[in-house]
Amino acid sequence: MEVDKGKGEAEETRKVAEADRDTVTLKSSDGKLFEVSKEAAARLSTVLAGMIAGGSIDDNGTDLKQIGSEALENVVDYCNKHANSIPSAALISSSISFNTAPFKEPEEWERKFVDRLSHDALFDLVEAANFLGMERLLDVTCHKISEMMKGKSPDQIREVFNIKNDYTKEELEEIRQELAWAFYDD
Amino acid sequence: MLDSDTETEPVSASNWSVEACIYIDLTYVILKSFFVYCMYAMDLQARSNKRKRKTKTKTSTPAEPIPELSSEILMDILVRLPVKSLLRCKAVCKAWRAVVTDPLFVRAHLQSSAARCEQNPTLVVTPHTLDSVIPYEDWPTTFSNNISFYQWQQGARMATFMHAKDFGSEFRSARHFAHCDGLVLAPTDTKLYLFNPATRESITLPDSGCGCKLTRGEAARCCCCAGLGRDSRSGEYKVVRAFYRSMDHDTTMGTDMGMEVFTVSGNGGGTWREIMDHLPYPAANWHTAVTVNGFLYWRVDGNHDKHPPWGPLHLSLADETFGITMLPDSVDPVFPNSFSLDELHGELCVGELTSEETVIIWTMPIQDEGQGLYWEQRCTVRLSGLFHPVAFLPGDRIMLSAGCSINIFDMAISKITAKYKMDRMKYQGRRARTWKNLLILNIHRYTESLVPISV
Repeated sequence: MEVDKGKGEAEETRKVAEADRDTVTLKSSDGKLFEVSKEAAARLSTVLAGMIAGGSIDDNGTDLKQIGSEALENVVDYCNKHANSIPSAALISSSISFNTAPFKEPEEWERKFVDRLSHDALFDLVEAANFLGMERLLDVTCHKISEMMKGKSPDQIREVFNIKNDYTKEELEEIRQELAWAFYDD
Repeated sequence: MLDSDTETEPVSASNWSVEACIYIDLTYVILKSFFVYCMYAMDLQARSNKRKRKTKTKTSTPAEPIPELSSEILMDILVRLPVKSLLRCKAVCKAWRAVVTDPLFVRAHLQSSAARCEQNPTLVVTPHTLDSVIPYEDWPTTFSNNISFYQWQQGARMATFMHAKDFGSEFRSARHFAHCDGLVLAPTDTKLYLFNPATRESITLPDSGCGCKLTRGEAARCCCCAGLGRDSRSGEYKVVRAFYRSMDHDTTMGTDMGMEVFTVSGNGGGTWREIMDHLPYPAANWHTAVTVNGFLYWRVDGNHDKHPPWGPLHLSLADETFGITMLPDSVDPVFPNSFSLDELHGELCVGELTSEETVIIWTMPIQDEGQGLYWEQRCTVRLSGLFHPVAFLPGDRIMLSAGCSINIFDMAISKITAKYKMDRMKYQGRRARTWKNLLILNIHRYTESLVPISV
């Protein structure tokens, strides 16, 4: 959801108004504005939670210079979807008493959410999630990328990650011989 | 022919312990925070001069020798991959190889691997067959010298092959294996072998530097207590074995037990070192230690002392000191078949067989002194024989290992709801479902890892 707002209000008035609002406005690197529920932002992003608590949220759009509009749109979309689809953290932890592990498989809707993303959008989103301290979104996006890597050859992985092969032919051959069995799929 | 399900061997059933070296959440969080902190510090630098990634620039690969993603995120992705994929990643570029072999990454990957297994436990299975069956042997001496590892998860129709190695005719009998962080210790009557089945690394540990010399004929009576664990202070993996300083020539039994330690991944020079602390009680022969949080636990040898202590012997791998861990008051340590001793979700676990044909599961978190604060009664399982608890499962269920079976017991309805006959399972690469002269399966809870074996 994109909004357009004029500037010029006094700092004090803004802060008072901000405290009453239940959404926060985020500004992407290319100047686009997005609105997200304050409650969801605070719950899902440690960075935004810190900014909200510290009062450093700008009513005219909190600058997130590191995040492009496409990635920020996905972040906001995720927050809004998450607010609707996920039981509260307390409910999850009480249902599985023995499962103290931090790892949780992505939910069905989260899978779909990342599956529809282009390769570039996914990589931008993972960076955005990392920057905003959104642990769950980071989990989901990293999981998706790791899934993309399974069963792929080193050549294919280099292509996905845009990596240059800095091994010599001999070095590569040595690794291949040492770990020949690992290069075969079951 | 020996039936693999009978438990008439002189070795008590409880030693087929299934160990899970699952570290608690806290360790993961601390490690991860540290990790993130380090990476963040490095990343700030990188961010400042990192050019903005755009689709168009993708074509200019020659100028892009480093991965696009920050190293912090790259690690977050790589820790989720299975070991086999990570070994392949070594061939991607030098930077990735450096990541995959970095001890900090190996540790983080282990935690992630353990967390996944927490949801659906993975088991490592080694079938032991006999080359020939000699009647009336106390414990067979014709073990196949081919040691193989298979991995299995509940619901899987097949156990997948991991690794196999043939040792010719180096040993005659295999003992209970031990598992810690993806490493498997295989003690035999002559040698100790250490494997990482996922990376297919293995070593034969050097022969003991201590103990009285025994001829091969007497070797069956020599001590064969061993154990494997992680020294939580140094982070090193240590193998421990017992030896006898002397031998009673009338009974040909060893006397005056001592223990020695071998550091797997350290600078110990690849030799055994005698543990200086006095061993208060000898450990029961043939037993392989249960490992919990930097401590090894052995049952005390009841034959050697008229007043055995009320609980198992423990060894701190960090301090290399011994002690006794007290059992719950209701468990009588004098009767070795009245309780099982295992590791369960990172805690010491005792299964108490009561006169009402039920087994009470007790657990105790292990603190720095090897002695927890309290035993907690976790649940009661209405089964008339001892078993090894493998894992608590969601929905008030518990996975149990007994003989060649893995059973799922539902505590709410007090019934076994699923039974997996591991000796009739399909094993990858084998045509037949049956094994000729199968004696027993070594079954352990398993966490796949990149932990290297270097001497």
